[in-house]
Amino acid sequence: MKQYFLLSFLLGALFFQSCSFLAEDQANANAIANFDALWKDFDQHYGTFQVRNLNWDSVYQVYRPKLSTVSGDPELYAVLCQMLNTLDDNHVVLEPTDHRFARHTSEADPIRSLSQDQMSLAVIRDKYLLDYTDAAPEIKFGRLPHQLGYLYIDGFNASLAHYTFELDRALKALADTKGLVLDIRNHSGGWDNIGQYVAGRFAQKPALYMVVKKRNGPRHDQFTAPQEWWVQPTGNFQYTQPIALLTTDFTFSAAETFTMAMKRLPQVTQIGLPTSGSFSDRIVRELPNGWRYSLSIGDYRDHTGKNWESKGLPPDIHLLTTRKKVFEEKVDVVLEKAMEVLQ
Amino acid sequence: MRTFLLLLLCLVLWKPLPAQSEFKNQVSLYLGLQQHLVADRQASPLHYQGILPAIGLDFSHKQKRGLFQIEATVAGGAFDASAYSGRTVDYGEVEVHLEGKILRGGIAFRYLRRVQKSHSLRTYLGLGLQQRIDYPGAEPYVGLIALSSIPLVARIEKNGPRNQLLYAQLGYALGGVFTRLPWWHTSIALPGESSQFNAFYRNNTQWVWGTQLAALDFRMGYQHQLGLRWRVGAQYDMSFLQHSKPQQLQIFNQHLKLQFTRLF
Repeated sequence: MKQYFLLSFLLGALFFQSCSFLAEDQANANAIANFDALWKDFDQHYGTFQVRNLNWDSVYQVYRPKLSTVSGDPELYAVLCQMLNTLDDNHVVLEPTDHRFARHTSEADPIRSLSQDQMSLAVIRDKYLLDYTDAAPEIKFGRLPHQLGYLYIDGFNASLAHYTFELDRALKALADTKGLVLDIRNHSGGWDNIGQYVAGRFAQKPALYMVVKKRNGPRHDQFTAPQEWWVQPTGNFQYTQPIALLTTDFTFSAAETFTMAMKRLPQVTQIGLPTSGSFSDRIVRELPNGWRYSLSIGDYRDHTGKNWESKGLPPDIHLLTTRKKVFEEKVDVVLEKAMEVLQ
Repeated sequence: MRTFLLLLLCLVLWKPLPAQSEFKNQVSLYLGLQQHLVADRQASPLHYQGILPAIGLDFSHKQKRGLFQIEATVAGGAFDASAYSGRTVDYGEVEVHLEGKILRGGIAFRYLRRVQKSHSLRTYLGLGLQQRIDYPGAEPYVGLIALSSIPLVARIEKNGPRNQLLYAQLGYALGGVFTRLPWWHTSIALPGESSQFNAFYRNNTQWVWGTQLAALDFRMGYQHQLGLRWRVGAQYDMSFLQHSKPQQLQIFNQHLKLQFTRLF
């Protein structure tokens, strides 16, 4: 009986003392500790200091003195947002887990914001399309007048098998069209390799479209060996008629690396606004106070070696519309221009 | 008629049962609760923890001088930062809950050789092959690991006067193949890769041995005989894993389980 009692006591002690088996939890609400943790993590992982020509040490010198050990969360939030805005990178996001502070995306110009008001799928479906198929949550397609096809994609988050199947279905249905409007104005990204596959459904021959390096060391110039991304024919068949690729500055992340691939195809004309200018993969990390943030880890360049971070890929035909035009007058001037180009 | 049917039933069901010591196999179903604690500096400065319901199946086969074990277990549940559970982020129009979840699975094969036997005490020593996957379903993927290891295992068993069984077992990984979230995560999207999972596994897996990885598991349990073929028991498992480079990873797991065992 005595042994069982001793055993039970030991087990109970183990349960209650289990945290002591681990190294110390670094949870900490101190503003300086959190500022330093964030600055250091960017220093170790951020991939586009060089292309942005940004001296991260001097950023520290500017913003660190604005905080002290007695600074509260409002001061910390304000200083971190200001510091991250120097990066002007939409993949850099601060997510305070405190309802007093909103999620903040790094932007040099606070007036500029991503434009989700440049198109309405409902307007296109009701006013322009002769038929409409809601193929999957991320893929819709239909026919426009003048024997043109319309394909809408707003994400690359599903599996490759999903895109293989759905694109077979859509491109078979549109195989007899004379041109295609490929609409990625609401495309918020996903996986680059899905974009690589989808671009391959429109390719006739291989072409290098992107060269990527990712941070793999503590110095700002330490990167992996360059990884070459090629667009080449994929799937059972390819659609090779003229294509109007519609973009806005809401066309983001993997949608931009996809645009980079599509721009290498001779039959593609990009129409609309420059893309967002946020190409790199990102990782999500945490601060000692529990707030989260994401940061870009790569140096992404096109086939000529040019980096488009913060600039976005410029369209061949620049066209801006307004919210009023789209949602009140129900006119899509960018789509109309695309149809004109393809006819 | 009723008496005849009862007699017939008894004849059908009755067959001579071997003495308890002659049962060579046992299969156990267990239900348990795990406490899972993680410090993964490559993913977060914060400790994560979860209380996870678990279910598992064990099989063991006793030979004249050996013991063969197969085990499979699955556990899953909420998993969040110890210091900040229930966090939300204000996305403007909606508040998003940062609810974490983790799914754990493991399978193990072991062969133990009896090295000592006295009146009621048996001691075994052997090797195993274990596969373990801990998959937190969301970023920042604290405690994401896969480990295939070869543990050295020692076990001691003692039978009580009414055939109760008391046992303890200790395993320590001699080496293995280990996957964890890297400090510089360079394999998120790679050209030509159709599966992110494969890309992650291929690029972040390494051989580990000796002091590179410390993976220890210990268990102790008691089984009470209920009739000839059944036992019920309770077992306490504890495991600790540590990998230090480039940043510290420590995983501590303890597991209390109720076992229902059938001997055959």
